[in-house]
Amino acid sequence: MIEKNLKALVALLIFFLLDTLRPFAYSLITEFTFLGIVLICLNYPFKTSLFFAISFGFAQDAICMDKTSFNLLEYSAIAVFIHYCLRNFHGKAVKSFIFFGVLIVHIIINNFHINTAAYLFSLLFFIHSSIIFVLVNHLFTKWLYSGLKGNDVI
Amino acid sequence: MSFSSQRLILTQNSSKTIEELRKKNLILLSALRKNQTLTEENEKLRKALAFKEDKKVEMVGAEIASFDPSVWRRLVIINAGKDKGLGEGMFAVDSEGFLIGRLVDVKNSFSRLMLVDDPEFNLPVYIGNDALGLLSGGVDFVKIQYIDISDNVKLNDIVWFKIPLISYPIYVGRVRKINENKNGLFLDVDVRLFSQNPLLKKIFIIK
Repeated sequence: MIEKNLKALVALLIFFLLDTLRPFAYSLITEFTFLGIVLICLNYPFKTSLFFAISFGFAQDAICMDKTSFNLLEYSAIAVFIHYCLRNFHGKAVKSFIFFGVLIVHIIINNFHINTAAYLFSLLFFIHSSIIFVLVNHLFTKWLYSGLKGNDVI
Repeated sequence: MSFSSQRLILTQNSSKTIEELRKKNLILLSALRKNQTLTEENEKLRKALAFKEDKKVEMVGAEIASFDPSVWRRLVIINAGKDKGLGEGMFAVDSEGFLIGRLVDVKNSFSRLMLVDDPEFNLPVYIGNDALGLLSGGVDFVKIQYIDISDNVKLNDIVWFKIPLISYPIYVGRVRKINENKNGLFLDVDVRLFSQNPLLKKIFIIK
């Protein structure tokens, strides 16, 4: 379990670095930390997900100098919402539905947060984030379950 | 020595030579890339120097250290602050003198720069010769609002502004699209920015 948690921490740190260094500047319209938090919430138990959501939400607020703790609140709410859905809904496509639901809510909340209805930008954010999430999800789950014993897998 | 062993030695020698040539080629290629980067940087600095001398303005060079993690905002952190005499409200330009943004938070050794396309960026600007409007940033489009309908604004007109106490104009961009406001009293104008490369490493703050 420790190895699994360390992998989550490493992945989130890399995502956080990608967001702050932006090697593609604003050509790639996505937020890696947000995708990472969703990914962790979909693959980890509630307590671990909430811990990472709070930690990285706080770190993001500290860098943005956001006094409203916007990211802290949003990421914590995402962790709670995703685990509520995972507990109450079952099926093959439930994780995909949860991801798209959270992504759409994130876009709406951010449009309110910046007081603008940025239609084109929101559409691009949706497309880029969906593609990156599919890619990251595939790579992360492959890495996560490589070398883990059966009883470590949730 | 038989013909086949002579040929074997020759082949071994030539494969060694090829290997060495490949290594040399790699070294030369990397030196060439480094040279190209230096030439580009040199060119940018020359342009900035020309701008500085031409306009007789005091500027401080800085580099982008990191970006705001939220893609919905356009804020960057630069590696210069109060230690280099910077203050809030100062404007940043690129090496060609086009507006990039404005300092919104200045610390001792770093500052926070709000780029022109940040949703909270606002600046009174001129369009063409004398039309006046309020430039507002946005992640979708940068717009100018509240332009009087009687003002003769045309497509491709230059958008510019003046810093108080400095006599020359700072160019922002060109008019891309003109729309009539919903209430029919004003024009809303979309602007194509001159400086659209946020990956640029060197920026200059006008003091």
